[in-house]
Amino acid sequence: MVNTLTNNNSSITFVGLKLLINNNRNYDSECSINFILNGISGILQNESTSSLSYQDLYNKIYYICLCDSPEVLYQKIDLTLTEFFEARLNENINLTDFIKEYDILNKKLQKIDSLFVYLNRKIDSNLKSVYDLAISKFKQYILLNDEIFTFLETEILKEIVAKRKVYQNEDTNKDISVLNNILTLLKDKEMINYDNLEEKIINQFKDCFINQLNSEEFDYNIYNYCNSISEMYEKDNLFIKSIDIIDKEMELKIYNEFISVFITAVAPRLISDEMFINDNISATSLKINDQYILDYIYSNDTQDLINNRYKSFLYDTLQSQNFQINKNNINSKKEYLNLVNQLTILLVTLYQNNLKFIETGIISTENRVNATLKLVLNDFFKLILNNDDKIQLGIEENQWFMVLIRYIDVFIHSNDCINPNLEIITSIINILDGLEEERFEKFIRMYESLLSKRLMNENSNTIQLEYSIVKIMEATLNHQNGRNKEDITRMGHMVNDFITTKKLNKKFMEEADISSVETDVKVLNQFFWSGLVDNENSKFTNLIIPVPLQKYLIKFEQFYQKNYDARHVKWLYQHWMIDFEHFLNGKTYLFTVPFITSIIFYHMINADFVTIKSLKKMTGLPTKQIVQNLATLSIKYGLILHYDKDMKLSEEKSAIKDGDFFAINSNYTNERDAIKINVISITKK
Amino acid sequence: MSEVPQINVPQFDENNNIVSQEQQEEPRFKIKKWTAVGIWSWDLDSADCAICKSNLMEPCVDCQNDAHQQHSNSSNPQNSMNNKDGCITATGTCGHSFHLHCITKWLQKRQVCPLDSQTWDFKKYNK
Repeated sequence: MVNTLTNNNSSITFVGLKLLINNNRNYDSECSINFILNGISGILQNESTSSLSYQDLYNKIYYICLCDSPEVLYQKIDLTLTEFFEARLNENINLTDFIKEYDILNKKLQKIDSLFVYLNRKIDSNLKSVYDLAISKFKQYILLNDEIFTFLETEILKEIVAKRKVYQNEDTNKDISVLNNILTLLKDKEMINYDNLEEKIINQFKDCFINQLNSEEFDYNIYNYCNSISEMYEKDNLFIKSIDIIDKEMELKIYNEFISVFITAVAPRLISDEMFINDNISATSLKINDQYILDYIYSNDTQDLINNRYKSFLYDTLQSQNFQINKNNINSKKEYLNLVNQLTILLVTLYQNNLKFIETGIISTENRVNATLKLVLNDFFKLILNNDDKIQLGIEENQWFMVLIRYIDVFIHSNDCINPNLEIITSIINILDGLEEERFEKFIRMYESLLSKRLMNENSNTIQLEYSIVKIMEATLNHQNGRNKEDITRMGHMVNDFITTKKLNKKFMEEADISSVETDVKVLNQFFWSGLVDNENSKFTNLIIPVPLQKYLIKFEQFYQKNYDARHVKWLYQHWMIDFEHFLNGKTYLFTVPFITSIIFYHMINADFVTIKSLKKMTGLPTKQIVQNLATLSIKYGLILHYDKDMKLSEEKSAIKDGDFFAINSNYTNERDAIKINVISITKK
Repeated sequence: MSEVPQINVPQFDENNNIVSQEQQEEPRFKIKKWTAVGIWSWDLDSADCAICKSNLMEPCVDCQNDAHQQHSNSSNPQNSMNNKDGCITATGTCGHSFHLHCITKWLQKRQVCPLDSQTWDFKKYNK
């Protein structure tokens, strides 16, 4: 049977206890304690101690704890340690070697502590362990000495400077255990000088930062500088993290000094146009104390300066590129449209590049800086759009928004593919969102008019494009106050209505069975297409439709009535076009002419001569339209001959008078088979 | 001085149409394409729907909202057309006209004309 003695969670077997008692058969309490105290003193004073002595010491301590009075032993050790450190203080310590000596002493104390494992368990829990007791004695007798403390403090600060340099230069010797040991020793909140030391360490870092800033040549290009700062920060971070006593709070304070020295104080020097051109996205991605580097540069003190600088930058960029576009000698529509294209691309590129820079080129906390700079960008474009004197364009009433509208028109005309790239159109509409109310209304009127014209001269492949652009406008242009959303919605309805009427025409073609003539009849919703009804329309109320066309018109009206019995249709003759074939001087031509022109031409074909008066009677047209068309056909195209009232052939470009005669020019020749006739406009002088 | 040509004044019928030459000769005016534009409006007394306040020429408010949602979700104009095509108007025996959607909704609550409170009877659907 094995008996077990239990005391304070420790247990030894009966056999072990018997062995221990046998080994201490001649035990003497005082002798044993003295042996232990001498052993401790010997270790602390560097006397060599064999492993056997350690064993003896351990056994004796153990025996005392088990069979005698551990409290007495503890008191004696306390006294011995006090005497030892008192004696050290009186030894006139060599400060130069103090740090090394402390390192050795610390190791010795740790060694001693291992001898007292059992004693530490036996003593009252309120008492310190032997190691802690020794350290507290060390602090009490050595560190509280002003001279030593001051020395240590100085050494620590010097070590911080030296080791920071090691880290910054990426030297190999990064061992900072000595520094850490001293700092750990001094880390005692109860020590009266501790707070001061913490503050001194932070200030020491600040001095290091200032010295570095003053001694090194920095490139103050903001992105190069940010890169340098990032590198420095990473190294400092590594160094600071390796110093044990620096807690989070102290770390924040050190980084605040870093920010203050390297960023806030330097920020005004970083403000230049270069800060708005960034190809190095990662440069501003450094985060210090939970904020990105740009947040410190773009501070309350600098933001007005930066915003103004940004506006100037945008203006200068636009102006300098605008000057490079040659606006002289615009001799053709092609040259004019080329100029519209160049100006638009210039403006849109500036917008897109800057938007990209703001949205993805810089990084700030919660996009605060990005959002503010975007406002500045939008403000700039708003200024450009609403003030004509800012940039001399030389075309389109010197107004950017007119250039942009013109560009969209040209873009749609020239993009009849199914999926054109709408990126540029989206940017243009975003820019146009800056239009103020009055100009916005002008834009809507102009756009609606151009949309209407485009649809009238429809290329079926552009319908999808038209719709997509209206959709972009609807999503982009309705956010500001005072804007009428219905204007854009109506444009969407126009496109939809146009598609409906195209379907209707297709149905008519199928049902009417008139394969010899292609019909393109559009009956549009008056509410959406109110812009189509102009003053010209009222002049054609008594128009007489030529016989060849009458049958088609009647067929269509019957068809429409059958499908939509509650609708009233009003024909807009000024928008009608007729393609007809006519045999002239040995050749058949295909003429594409406005409807009014076709009526006049039709009657002239069927008569040797006509007069304005006879045409009025035959067509029901107003005099002005007849004269306009006669002038077009005679002067511009030479299709008819103009005789005066005496039947004398008039001189070229002579004015048309009442009583003059007109006849088809039977000698007309043209190399082309298909001729499109555009009526000239006549203005009264 | 050039020779004065013989004037052949065309003949007209009672409708002011030229009668003689076209019927006698090969057609000299052969139409190949007819492009015409017209605008339509309701042949109704009312211009606006008194229920949704929209013009009767445009879809009712519900259809406009539906179309707008479809329009937002689709880049295809055909998709947003479907509902609008179906938004016709209706006239009651009292002579008042509304969007069919609007008056149908109204009649679920009250069986009278919203304007004159007479019992509502459909006279016709306008399309």
